[in-house]
Amino acid sequence: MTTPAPLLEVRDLGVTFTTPRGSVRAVDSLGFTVEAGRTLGIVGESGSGKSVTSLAVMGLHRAGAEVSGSVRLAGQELTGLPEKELAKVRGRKMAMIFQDPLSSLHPYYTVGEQIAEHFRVHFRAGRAAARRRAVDMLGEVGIPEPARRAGEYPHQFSGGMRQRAMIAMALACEPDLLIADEPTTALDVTVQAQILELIARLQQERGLGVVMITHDLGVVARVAHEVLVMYGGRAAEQAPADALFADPAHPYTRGLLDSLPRLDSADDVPLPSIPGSPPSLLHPAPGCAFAPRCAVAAAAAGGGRRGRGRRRGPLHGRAARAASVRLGGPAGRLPLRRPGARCRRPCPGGVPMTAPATRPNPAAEREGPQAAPLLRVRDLTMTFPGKRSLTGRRSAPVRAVDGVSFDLEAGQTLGLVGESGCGKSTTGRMLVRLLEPTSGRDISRLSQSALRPLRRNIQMVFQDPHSSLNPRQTVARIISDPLLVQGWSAADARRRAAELMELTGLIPEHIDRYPHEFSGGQAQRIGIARSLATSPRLVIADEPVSALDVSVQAQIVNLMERLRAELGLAYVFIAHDLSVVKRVSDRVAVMYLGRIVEIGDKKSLYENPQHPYTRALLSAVPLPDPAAERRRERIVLLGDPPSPAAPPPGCTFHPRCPKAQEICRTERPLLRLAASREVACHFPGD
Amino acid sequence: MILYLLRRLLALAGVLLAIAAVTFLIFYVLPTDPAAAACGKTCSPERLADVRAYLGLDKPLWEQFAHFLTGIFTGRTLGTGQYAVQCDFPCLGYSYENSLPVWDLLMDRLPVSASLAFGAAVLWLILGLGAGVTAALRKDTATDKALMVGAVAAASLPVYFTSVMLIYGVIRIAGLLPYPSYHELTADPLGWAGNLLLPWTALALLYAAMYARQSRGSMIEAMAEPYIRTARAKGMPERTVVVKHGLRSGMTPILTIFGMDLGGLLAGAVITESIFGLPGIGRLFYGALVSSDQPVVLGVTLLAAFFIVVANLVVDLLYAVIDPRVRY
Repeated sequence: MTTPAPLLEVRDLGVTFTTPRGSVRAVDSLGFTVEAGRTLGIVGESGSGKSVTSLAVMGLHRAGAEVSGSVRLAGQELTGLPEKELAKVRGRKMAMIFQDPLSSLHPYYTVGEQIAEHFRVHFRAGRAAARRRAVDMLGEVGIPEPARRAGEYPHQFSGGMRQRAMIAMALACEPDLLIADEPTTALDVTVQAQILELIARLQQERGLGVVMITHDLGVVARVAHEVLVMYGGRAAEQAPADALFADPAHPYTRGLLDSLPRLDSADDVPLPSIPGSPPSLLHPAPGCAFAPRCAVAAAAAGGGRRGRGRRRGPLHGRAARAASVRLGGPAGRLPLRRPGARCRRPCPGGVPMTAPATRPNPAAEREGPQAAPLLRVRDLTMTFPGKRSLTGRRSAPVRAVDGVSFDLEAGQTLGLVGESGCGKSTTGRMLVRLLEPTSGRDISRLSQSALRPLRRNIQMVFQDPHSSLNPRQTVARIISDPLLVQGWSAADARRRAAELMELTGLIPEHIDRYPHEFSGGQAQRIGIARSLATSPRLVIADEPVSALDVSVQAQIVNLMERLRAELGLAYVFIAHDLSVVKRVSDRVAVMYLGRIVEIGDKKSLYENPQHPYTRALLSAVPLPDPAAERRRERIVLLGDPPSPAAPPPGCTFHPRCPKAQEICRTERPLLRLAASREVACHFPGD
Repeated sequence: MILYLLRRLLALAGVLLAIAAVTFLIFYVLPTDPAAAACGKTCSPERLADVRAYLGLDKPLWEQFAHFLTGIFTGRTLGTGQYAVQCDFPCLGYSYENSLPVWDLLMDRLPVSASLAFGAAVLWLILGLGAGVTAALRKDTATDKALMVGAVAAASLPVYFTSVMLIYGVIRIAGLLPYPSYHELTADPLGWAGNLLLPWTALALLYAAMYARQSRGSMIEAMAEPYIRTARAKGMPERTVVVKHGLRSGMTPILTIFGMDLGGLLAGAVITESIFGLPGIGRLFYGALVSSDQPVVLGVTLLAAFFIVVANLVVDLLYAVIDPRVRY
């Protein structure tokens, strides 16, 4: 008797691109299976080959890519199938959804038309039947008034709605396999929770096999049954989700998990980071792709025989220090060689990694709590004029930031969190104009030239390190620019730039290089070095790590923490990622539609959120721990954040609030003290 | 939408007014005296003064201009007494050269230029878009490279060169076609097409080359859009992917330049008309220019501006039809 073939079976998959700079082996000898009703999570950083894999399975890889190996869908071999035959399988038996639902939907056709057009092709159905199908599918993915919405265009849908429409489209022909390529990466965390829930429900109802491709370990922990960790185009580790998260066998997996700031971990434990950055596939190193960044490999190579005796003696150099910091690793246990892990030296429970020895605690060094705050913000408001339509009429003005107030003391970090459009970045940008309230000066009305002497005290770090550095300037020029503005001589500024490079962990010899010669993490270090050039007292960091790979995020977070301790900096740390904010902040402010809804001490805010929105946000963040994910109660908010152009009356959160009552619809709650912090809610707490 | 249209029409009027004013001014500062031109070679000073008064040239510039403008909408009377001539709506004045109403001259020549423009446009769209889209879909292959080399070659040949070569090759050597003369479409459709074939080709080659390059670029861009990948992921047949999903967005940018090109050509292709001896607006303009026939030059300029501005408006309105995100 033969066991039935798995839904999807990929064997020895290889994808090679030919580029002008040489051939790139994007995916190499990859194999996995997906059963009906199960979810395989494929995790990896940029360049790990996870998206290329999914496209190769669908037969959607770039023209010119060479695909080898075997892809079998329900027993049918797909590689080598002529395009015409493959098209009959695509959309019919396997379907795919993508990261950005806006650009993945055609702007010129109605949503209904796009959901149903392949239904007509695959089932030879008529127009009317296809339209009925589209409306049914839209209803099924939870879009209200599906019949009307089917006649609308993608730009009339919100982000979450668009992804729902994509899912409706993917499932219109009842496929057996759904490949989701970063389906929630472009979405807000509360919307992400909705979409993940929806996929899980549809999977259960239809017995779908799902391949979930993501860089977010939390998402994988929430949805996946099996996990495949990719690195440098190869499988690093493959295991059932529970086993993988509980006891990662590959040093890379463990490194990723350890370097992830988490909601559910104490943050006085230092954040270990993986050194270096993901490899270039153009010139792959022989052997294990992870070797150059792997502490186990380094220990083995550097320590010779001693390295192998990890269980007995201390490890080599820096790694040893870190290992002693790491607790947990059962020292007596033998390295487990799980069949899933592609590593010659699997983890002995605790992988040594570089980490700061102790976490700096500037709050403790602060003198008396009554010292005048470094920054005092009162009723900060930003109103953008409404968009002028082509007919010349202006729409209603948008209050992007609406009466934000907070204090920030020297050496402290205030985390500013919220979903897209909540006004957190606008707040940050307005702050760049403001400082020196220690002397009590209101600088919101100072002229540009009067402001210049104050500017050196406040600097900014941006999200996308590469696009915020001028590609035609050398690093020396970039870093010393703010100094030249402040009247430094060129030679002094250059010397200072080299110092700053050293301080931020860059190699000062690279001072005459251009930004494109640096990796993303290094480029962000340049951005940080530039912000520090004038010895500011406050740095506004606007999503400084969200464009970086997970393994690089930890490096930057650690760098910022170290600089804060060494230089006594204060940060306003703006981010959508609640875990990162928790990691770096002393106090946290949660913003919703231009207002702070809750602000307070980090520890109490995360442990005992008072505002229903904070609670929902925290519950929406997936934890990289499948067991915890199953245990936790989850508040899934309805709908999307409303547009700041037309905020709801009363409490702006009431349309999505599970606790909303009559008063919330009419009366705007002000920030009030509740449970040792300020909350803007009529019914704070439970 | 209505409001938008009104605004655009108002802007259109403004542009035409500005162009008329500038053209008027240019002739005013020119050293040639239109009265002398109109008066002829044997012209006594008294007669010259008469002509001057008759043409209204003795009045201040702004008054002349106002008179000219009102004439367009209401018609006007030129001269006084027994010499008075009623110039009916839409009055663009009379040619100094042959005393015919400018409007009639224009309307007389317009069918020729329009035939040339529209015929060439059809030809260059077929050739240019065909080559461009083919090259885009076969990007980086030999076909693509050959087509693009051909496009660069065609674009770099001046239209007078291709025209002359065509006349020489097709008419003189091969004797396939008669030397072009204009036949009216309604009277003799075959003769119309046969006689215009060479001018069409000459004109279309140049434009086709530019369109091939443009459409290749925008089609490559369109086919790289994520929604094309979505369409393929849905299992749509490749032909549908290209035609329904790719072509419609790929051709949108072409619409803009096409509107401008066609609008420009409607008011005459000076070189092509001259070489092939077609009595179009371009030749009318050239003749009027060399003989300082101010009313005709003014009329042609205004007509050309009118076509371009209207073509632009039509393109913008078509955008709203093609792209649902555009709403006025």
